[in-house]
Amino acid sequence: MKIQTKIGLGLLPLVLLSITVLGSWSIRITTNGIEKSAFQHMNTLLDSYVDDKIRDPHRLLVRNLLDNEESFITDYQRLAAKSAEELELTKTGHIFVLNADGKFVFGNKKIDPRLIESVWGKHSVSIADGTAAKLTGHHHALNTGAVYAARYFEPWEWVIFYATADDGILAAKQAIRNVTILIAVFCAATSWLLIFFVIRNFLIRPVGILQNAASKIAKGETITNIDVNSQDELGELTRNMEFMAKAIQEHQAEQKVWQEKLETKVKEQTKHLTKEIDERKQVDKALHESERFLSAVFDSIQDGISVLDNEMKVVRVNQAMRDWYAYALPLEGKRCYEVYHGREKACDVCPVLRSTQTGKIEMNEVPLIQQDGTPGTLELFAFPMLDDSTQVVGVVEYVRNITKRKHGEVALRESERMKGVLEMAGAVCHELNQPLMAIAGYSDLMSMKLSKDDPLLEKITRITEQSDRLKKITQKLMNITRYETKDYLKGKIIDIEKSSNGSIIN
Amino acid sequence: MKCKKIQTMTLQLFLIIMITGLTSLAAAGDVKKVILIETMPVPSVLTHSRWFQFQLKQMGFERSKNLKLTILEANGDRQLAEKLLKTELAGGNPDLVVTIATLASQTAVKLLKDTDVPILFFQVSDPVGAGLVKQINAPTETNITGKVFTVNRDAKIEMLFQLVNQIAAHRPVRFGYIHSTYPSSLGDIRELKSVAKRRGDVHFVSYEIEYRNVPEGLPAMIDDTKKGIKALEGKVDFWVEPSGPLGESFEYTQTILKNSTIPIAFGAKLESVKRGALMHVTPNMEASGREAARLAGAILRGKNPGTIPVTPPSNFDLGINITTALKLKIVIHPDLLQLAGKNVYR
Repeated sequence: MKIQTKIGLGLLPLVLLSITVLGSWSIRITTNGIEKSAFQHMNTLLDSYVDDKIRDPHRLLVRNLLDNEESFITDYQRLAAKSAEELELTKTGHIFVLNADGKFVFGNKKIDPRLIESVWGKHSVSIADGTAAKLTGHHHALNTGAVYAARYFEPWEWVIFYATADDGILAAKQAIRNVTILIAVFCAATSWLLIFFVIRNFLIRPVGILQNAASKIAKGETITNIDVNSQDELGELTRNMEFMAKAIQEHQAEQKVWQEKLETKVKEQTKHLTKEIDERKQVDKALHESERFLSAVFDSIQDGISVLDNEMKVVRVNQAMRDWYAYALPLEGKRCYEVYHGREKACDVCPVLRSTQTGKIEMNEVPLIQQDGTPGTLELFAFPMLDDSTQVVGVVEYVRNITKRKHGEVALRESERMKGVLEMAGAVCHELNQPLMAIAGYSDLMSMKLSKDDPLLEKITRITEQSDRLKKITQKLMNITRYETKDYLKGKIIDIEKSSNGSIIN
Repeated sequence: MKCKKIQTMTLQLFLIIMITGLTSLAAAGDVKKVILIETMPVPSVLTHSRWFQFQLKQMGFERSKNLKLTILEANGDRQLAEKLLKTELAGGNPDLVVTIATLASQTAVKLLKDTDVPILFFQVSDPVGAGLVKQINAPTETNITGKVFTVNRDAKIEMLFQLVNQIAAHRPVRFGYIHSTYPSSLGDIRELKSVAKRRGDVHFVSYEIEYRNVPEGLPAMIDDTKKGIKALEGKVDFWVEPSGPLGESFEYTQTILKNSTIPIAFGAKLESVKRGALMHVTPNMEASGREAARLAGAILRGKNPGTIPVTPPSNFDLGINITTALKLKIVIHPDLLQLAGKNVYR
């Protein structure tokens, strides 16, 4: 079922319901309105008549002190009665006046006053004495029934009636009901057709055309004109769709050009990138080789190298360091004073710390406990690493084990000291030997000349003995080969016995 | 010392006089010269004149500032009116000549017709009959314009007939009309008779007496009126007071009431109703005076009088004497009673 059929079927009950409700409401309102309007007409006419023809003239009489002048009153009442005859009433309309006793005064139609009195007399009395419930209403005393409006004019004790047969109102009500139903049926049919036509021609058809156009646009087909020429929102939508289709086509063409350009560019860029990648690979390879070379160089250095950051954490070390501190591997990420020196804080003389602070090369020697437990010495160099703004970003710590060199230097100093001692001992011995030889010779000569009893012989013998002793001592001094000491008084002196190789000439 | 002070004061006074004089000269160019001619010092003329001047002042024309208003009192004397106006014109043409009532208007028209001096008349009941203009309700295309001061005769007679018809025994109803030869009186009776002839249910019996200048000629006219009363006695059912100076005088009403038993059905003035006339209807004098002043203002501001049509009045005063009505057993129709408003007398 097409959409227009659905709308048509959907609208039909809606229209019928609306027209039925509207018609019913209209009939009720109209029929009520007719009655209301009839009463309103009677009241308006009656008020106008009473005010203009009765009350105003009476006021004039009062104002001019003529309200007791019988001639004036009679004449003014006559004029009022005459005026009633000139009123334009409905076909069955009748204006008549009864007095407060229900007696006929005048009327504008030739109706038997006794009939009027019999029908309206009591009502007139009740209006005059104020007991009547309403001044307007229906009166059913007559066969046909009547509607009426009444006013009481007290100064003249007149009850003025305006009555009309209600069959006219009933007929009007029926006529309106019939006409309304007829109009409702006609309106329902016309409305349905009109709405259907309007929806079909102004909504469904354009929407269908737009749907086809949208479908074509979606498929990428070329659209130049959409056949909807209305000036409403759909027309505006159509213009927008045409504009959109045109824009899409233009964008597609433009996109094609750009795609071609892009492909060309991609090819060029790919070629360029391939070349760059090759070059990069070569560079990477070179870098890798360089890195490997540098690492090899780095690791082949027998001295230790540590790269530290500003917090003195180890960033990188060479193989020597790893060998030296194999027990604490890995070294990277640990603080140098913890891993290298087992300290909880940096050394007081730490060159790395100073270099970090000064930004200059710093050096220091620090003690070392070697793997065999013997003490040694390390020589530390701290080279600051500076960034572009000359800020220290880390330190390269160069560590060299100088224990052997230190031992060599000690040995050299001992050897040089021994050489001096020996040269000194040789010189002393050489200088002592001459006088000693003379003493020994002269003492021997003297002993030979002395008798055995001579008291001097013993003394001379002692001089000879001591000279021999001195000779032995010089011989020991001459044979000193090493440096041995012994305590003497508060200091130390060379222990000649131990320092001599024993080949003392006796 | 004292001499020097006097000299200073004299100099100051001289300067004040000089400044005042120069100011007056400067303002002199804006001052409008208007001549107002009053036909005679009767109440209606004086009332018209008063309202005319009052309205002029309200419109900004004040005698002490920009208006030089010269009032000429003709005392009902045509020759005097002519003489006074000529004398005044000898001093230079005015910006406007305003005339109240017929005699003054005829004098002004006689001397200034077809000149460039505008003439504005009012309180003239028959300007065509008086020879002032050729027709009513049309521009005059001359230097003359004005306002008609009369009630439509047909309406007037109809109102009168509605009242007296209730009691009149004679048909047609006969109205006595004793009048002078004053122009407006002659015009009035001519018109009334014309209408009566057309209607057929009323008849005017007139008695003409010679007009004499008022106030000095009034006693003589009153004597002639008495003769008229005697002459018309038994020939009329009611009196109708004539327009013009004679009918507007109190003495005329008094003479009728005193010398005749026939009731005055129509008074020429409201005062007559107060004294016993059954009714009176006349254009409202305040409205008439003010309307004339508005026309005068327009002319003084440059409007050509020839373009202003001469129109009848639009406001009327109706007076009713209830005592007379009750005495005659005449019932006043509510419409007339309503129209009379406050002018209902006992």
